[in-house]
Amino acid sequence: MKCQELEPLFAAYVDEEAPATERAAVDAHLHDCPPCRDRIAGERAARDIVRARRDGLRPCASAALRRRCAAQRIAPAARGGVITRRAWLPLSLAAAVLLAVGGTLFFVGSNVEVLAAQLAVDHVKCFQFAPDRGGSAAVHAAVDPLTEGQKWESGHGWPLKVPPSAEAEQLTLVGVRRCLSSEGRIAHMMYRWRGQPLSVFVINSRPGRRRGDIDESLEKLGEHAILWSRGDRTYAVVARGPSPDLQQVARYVRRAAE
Amino acid sequence: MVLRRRPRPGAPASSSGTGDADDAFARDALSYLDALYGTALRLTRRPADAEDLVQETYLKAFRASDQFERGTNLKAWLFTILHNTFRNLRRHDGRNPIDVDSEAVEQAMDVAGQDHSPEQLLTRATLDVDLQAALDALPDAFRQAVWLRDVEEFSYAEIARMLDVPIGTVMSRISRGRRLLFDRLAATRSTAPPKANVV
Repeated sequence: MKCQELEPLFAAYVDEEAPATERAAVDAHLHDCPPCRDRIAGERAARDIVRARRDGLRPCASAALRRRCAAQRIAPAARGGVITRRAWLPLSLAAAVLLAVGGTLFFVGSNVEVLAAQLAVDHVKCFQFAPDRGGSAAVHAAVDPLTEGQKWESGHGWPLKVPPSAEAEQLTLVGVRRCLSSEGRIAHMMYRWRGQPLSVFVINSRPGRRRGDIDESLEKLGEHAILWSRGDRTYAVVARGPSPDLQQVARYVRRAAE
Repeated sequence: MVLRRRPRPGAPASSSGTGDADDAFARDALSYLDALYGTALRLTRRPADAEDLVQETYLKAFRASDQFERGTNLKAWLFTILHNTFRNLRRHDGRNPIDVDSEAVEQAMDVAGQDHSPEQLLTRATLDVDLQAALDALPDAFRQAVWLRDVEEFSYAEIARMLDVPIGTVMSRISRGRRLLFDRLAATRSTAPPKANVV
């Protein structure tokens, strides 16, 4: 089949929603068509990035707009048409109460694929802007895992076990920081592993919002992510490297962090 | 989402249960305000116009709440109202609701840097402002399709109903929109950091 004939199938193929027969047709074409392989890789990367950053892309509506929209419920029939912001009347107390209740219902869902992509982005981003990008051994030696864990607990209200540097794993602790978008519920422990960046994430779920049991190993955006859950915590190790070697590091982290 | 059965138009509306149902409907509908505003901003590109569009959407939704079928997707229903309202406004303005310049898209896609791997793209696209700018630079039709699919997580069928186009068109726009987005992100390396033209 020609590239153009298959183009309508690409979105469903990337989203893994294409029927088996169509998927097989695309697979067969991709085997012999490097340009379409590149195109699929690009579309998949764009999709993963947008999905990973979706919370940051959504602007928050202003409080004034919330009041205006809530007020539409109060007496829409009494008005002849749409009330624009220029002609908006002050809202009633009832609208404000309604809005306050409604605002608490907002819930951001996230599956493991999206979570892995999000963490892969955070991994790259944090190392891009970390003061230790050069990987100075002197800086590494100054990071004490016990002190970092205590600082974390006093600052964020939940205990964090920070796996120490481990010579046998070629793993060096660089620092601990919180993910800015997570309101202090995601701890990001940064390491150098064989000289390359490695991240360990610990996600402390809100009461009643456990993510469910996770035990996954995924490739996301060029990074390898190993995720698992234990109790109300979700853990992730993210780095670029051979999967078996990274699994060994993950086993060390399991022993030291849980 | 919990919505109680709503009375049909003309039915007695004096019981306290009706008030509870109205409250539940309004509460659930207003929980999608940020999502609607984000989409409205991508459609209108102007915060003031986006706010008016969202407000009008809620006005219509509250007026037509009896027509909402319990158990169906309230978010998709609200987004359909939003897009219909936007199309009507654009029609009254004398503008085509969707401006797809296929030739420009093809040319833009030809500019693609084929030597950019997804990993390189990731490194470059870690700032939200870069991604915002790249999304805003997409042609309207592609931006809408990618936004509704990848940010708001609607199905192809739901998007087709919202945009009033066939499912095949939706899938094609999503595919080409993602491709174009990838190319624009890849191109940002060789240019000055772009600024988002909304928000």
